[in-house]
Amino acid sequence: MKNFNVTIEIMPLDSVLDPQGEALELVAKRSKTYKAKDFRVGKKIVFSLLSKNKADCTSSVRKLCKDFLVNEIVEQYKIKIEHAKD
Amino acid sequence: MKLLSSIKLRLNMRKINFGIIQFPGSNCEEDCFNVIKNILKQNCTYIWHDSNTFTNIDCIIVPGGFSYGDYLRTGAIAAQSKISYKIKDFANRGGVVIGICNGFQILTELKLLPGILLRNQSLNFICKDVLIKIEDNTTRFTNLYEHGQIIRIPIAHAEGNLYLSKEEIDSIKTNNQIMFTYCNRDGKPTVESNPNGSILNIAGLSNKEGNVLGLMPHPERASDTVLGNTDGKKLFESIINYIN
Repeated sequence: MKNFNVTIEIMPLDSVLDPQGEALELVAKRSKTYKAKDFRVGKKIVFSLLSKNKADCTSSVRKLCKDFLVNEIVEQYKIKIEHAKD
Repeated sequence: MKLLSSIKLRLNMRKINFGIIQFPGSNCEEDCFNVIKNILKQNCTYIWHDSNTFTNIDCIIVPGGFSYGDYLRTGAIAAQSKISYKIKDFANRGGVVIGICNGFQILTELKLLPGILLRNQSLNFICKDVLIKIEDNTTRFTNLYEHGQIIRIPIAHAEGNLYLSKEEIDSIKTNNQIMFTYCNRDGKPTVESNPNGSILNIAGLSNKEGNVLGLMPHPERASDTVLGNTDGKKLFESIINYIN
């Protein structure tokens, strides 16, 4: 078994209103200093997982996302998996 | 007919066994218990979230609160608890389940009800009385109300903005799953009467089979005369009426 470091980035779907992003946008617009726009706020989850290989690890992570970590009605996600350093 | 139902409710019914689920962070379970036990004189027990089982229960209530601090998404962590799998099993076998506020959020995360409850459009936590309309009075949860009746029930939430995919909207319309809508005094589902931006002004909806209900308003906070409003009491009485 190998240890993998997993990172999941979760973002609201483009079609879904993101109130936190809207709030940041509002503040940025009020200021004359910031030129930033199109804010979207998501979350990042990191954990480690013991698996036979990377394919098995990916499959387990996808199930975890689908069943628990992500609600696909309103969220999209990206998975990053790396071998953990000993 | 309604009068007959009410009389029957008082004279000729067995006591119904309600079970109220307690998660870490639930905070409306005692209000529900008080209504069921002290006002409606039914049997009522608390069920701890870590329990593996419950027996001899006619109706499960998933109460409001902030289960697991609303971490990750509201209701998402509670939906992973041991008892939630039992609730799902109970519902799939036709058991009557009602989720109020955070309970509604948990039932959507359990996929017992469609959609998801997002942050209110105003971004504010809203605590006030709202008017809601009974869209269907032929259900397990509304059979003692009049069709189209407008009732006043309090809400208290930050995430009550129901979001449904296009397919889910079509499905709930086809299957008559909309139970309560936010409305004005004339019963119209206006933008002004919608407190949280909920799609189609939906305040409560059922599953396709009609045995699971989720709603954001708190009927248990409008069931005791000392609180000055008993508009919510008939919801619990309807369940008792149906099960009998």
